[in-house]
Amino acid sequence: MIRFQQVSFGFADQPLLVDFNLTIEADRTTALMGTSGSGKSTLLRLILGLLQPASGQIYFDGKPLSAEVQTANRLRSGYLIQSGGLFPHLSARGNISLMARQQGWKPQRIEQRISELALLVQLDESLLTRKPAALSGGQRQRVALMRALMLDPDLLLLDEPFSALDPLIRHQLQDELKALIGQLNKTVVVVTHDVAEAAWLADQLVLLSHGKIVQQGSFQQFREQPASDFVEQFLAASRGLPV
Amino acid sequence: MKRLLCLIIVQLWSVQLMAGSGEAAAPVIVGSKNFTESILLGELATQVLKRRGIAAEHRQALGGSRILWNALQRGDIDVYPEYSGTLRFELLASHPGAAELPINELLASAQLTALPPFGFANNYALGMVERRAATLKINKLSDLLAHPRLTVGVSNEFLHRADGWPGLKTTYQLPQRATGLDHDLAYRGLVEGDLDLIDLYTTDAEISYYQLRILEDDRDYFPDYQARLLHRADWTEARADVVTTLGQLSGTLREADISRLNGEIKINRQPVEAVAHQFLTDRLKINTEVEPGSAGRLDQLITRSREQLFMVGLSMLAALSLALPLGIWAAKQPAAGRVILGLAGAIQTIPSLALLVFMIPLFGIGTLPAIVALFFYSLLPIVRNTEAGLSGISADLHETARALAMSPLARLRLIELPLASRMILAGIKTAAVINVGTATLGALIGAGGYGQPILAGIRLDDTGLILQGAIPAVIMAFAVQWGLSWLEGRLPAPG
Repeated sequence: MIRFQQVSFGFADQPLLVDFNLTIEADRTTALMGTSGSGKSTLLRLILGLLQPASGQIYFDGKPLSAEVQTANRLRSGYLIQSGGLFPHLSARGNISLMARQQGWKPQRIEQRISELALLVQLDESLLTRKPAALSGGQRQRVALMRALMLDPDLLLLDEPFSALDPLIRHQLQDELKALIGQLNKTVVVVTHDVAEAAWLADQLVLLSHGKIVQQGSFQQFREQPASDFVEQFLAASRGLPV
Repeated sequence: MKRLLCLIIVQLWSVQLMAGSGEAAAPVIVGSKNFTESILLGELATQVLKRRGIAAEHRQALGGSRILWNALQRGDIDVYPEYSGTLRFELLASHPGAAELPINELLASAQLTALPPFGFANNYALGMVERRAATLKINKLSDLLAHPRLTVGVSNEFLHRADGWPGLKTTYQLPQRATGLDHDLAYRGLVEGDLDLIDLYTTDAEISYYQLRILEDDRDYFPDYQARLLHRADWTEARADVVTTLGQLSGTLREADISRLNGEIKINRQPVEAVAHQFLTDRLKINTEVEPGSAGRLDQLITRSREQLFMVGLSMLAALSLALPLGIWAAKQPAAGRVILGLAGAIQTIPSLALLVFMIPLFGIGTLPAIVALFFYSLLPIVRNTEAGLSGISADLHETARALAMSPLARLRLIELPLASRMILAGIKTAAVINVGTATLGALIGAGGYGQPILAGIRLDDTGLILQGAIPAVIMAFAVQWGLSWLEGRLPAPG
């Protein structure tokens, strides 16, 4: 679905990615892991065209990224960031329906879709009249997830979706998200620094360090054949892994 | 919001239409300078015209000589009273033979004509409180040489004009330094002992009232200031009716008359309209049933409120429609933003009074130049707050809006402007309150509004009159502030 080919990106004195190559398979869940500053969030921004690579090429469904296909690509992508990125001046419903209204959906269709999604993310629909500030952290991320799923995108990009939540809620949402991914059959890319989360959600794990891939494969491969000391250390830093 | 805006525009226009309705032919516009005698002469001219059935309008207290002189040449006004000395030594001073030529030969160079003199001269002089002058033994101007420590306060115009303080200082080699202040306030300063010496007009009623000593001009420095009405030269034929009618005032006023009339207004607090009416009836036997236009207090208040609201409303709307796009541009292009904010800031540093006067050569006198000046004055707070409000939106939200495939225009309309709206409104509020206050200065250039009674009150030393303008202005400022705060409460909290 997504292919990075010889992509370089960075700020003048501080290159983040150098000749980076990665293929993200369609209909699978890929976790991008790494320490902060390893360039993992940058990859999502590059896919959405929020950042432009200095050199190299990114392919979205086989087609190179360009200004002409950018809007279409963004409409096919759902994007969720750590803070939720909900607009504080709009109600939850206003946030969720923003893109659909821009696309000229009929109100009836919008309502129907919102009801479906509320059921899917297990959010009480009566909460949707509230502004984001009047929602709890977990409710906000559920709303943000509904917004990301509104147009039924092919690609779901999740940037540290749960790291701002307390452990109990995080755990619950991780479970729900896994179930949801199982139902939806979409290409999912989740950025996380949490190995447990990556292992729980993703089929394919990618560990980054200083803009380079250290290891790529299933969690089992990571555990049984760590590519380097760094991989071992990174795994060891997360305790209580699911078996 | 859009509907509200349309409503405001329609309201403002209808206000202006009402104000301008009911006039058949263009009335003769009589101007006067911002001191009592000039206003009285202007009022006499206006009433004489009205009594002969000629539509006339008096734009009172428009400013100093230059403003009136330029306004007459531009056609903003048609008639105003001027003094021969001012023409020779100030307005036409650079003309060869300015000091000797007959006045109308001199005026021909400016395509203007003077009617025969009113009959009195209002000369400049310097004066002191009688007792203080007696103590210091000062009788004539050259006596001042022996008292270099005297405090001198003169009117701002006198301080700078060629036939005023600079020439006087050179002629008499005066050692004192003079400070400029409002002529009417100078009397207060003199009587209360803050000033020793001020400039006077020899027809000022205060001279006898406060028992002042006029210092003898022993070197014949001050020229003769015969008062005459000026009009454009082509009016001698084109508006012969006006010129003939105004000619009836020539030779009717002696020094004693004008001094008494000035006293009626300044000392006895009679309205200038009533004093002019009385004089015309008693002395010129020009009697008609037309009562001087002394509208009721409420009518006056409504008229002034309308004028003030029109100035404030229109200048704010114009400022909004330019400042918002500029603020948006400044936020989107930081390089352009620095230039825009710098320029808007530079305009703000121009003193409001100066800005008003700068507008006169471009837009004449009246409401238009005042609106343009207020418009410029209102730009900075709105531009700055729009820029700050938009720049203050978090990078996360900017990025999310882009990731949601929203077009730049949709992002601006649905996300950025709503998020910045509180900040923008705060800027509008600041601009509007400054605007209401500054608009009172519009009266200086004939725009009317609440400034009119304030200026008249300062001139006549009448606190009640000042409050008639100041209180409604304060109320309007509060109302604007309150209204916008109410609107602010209904806007989204900053994100």
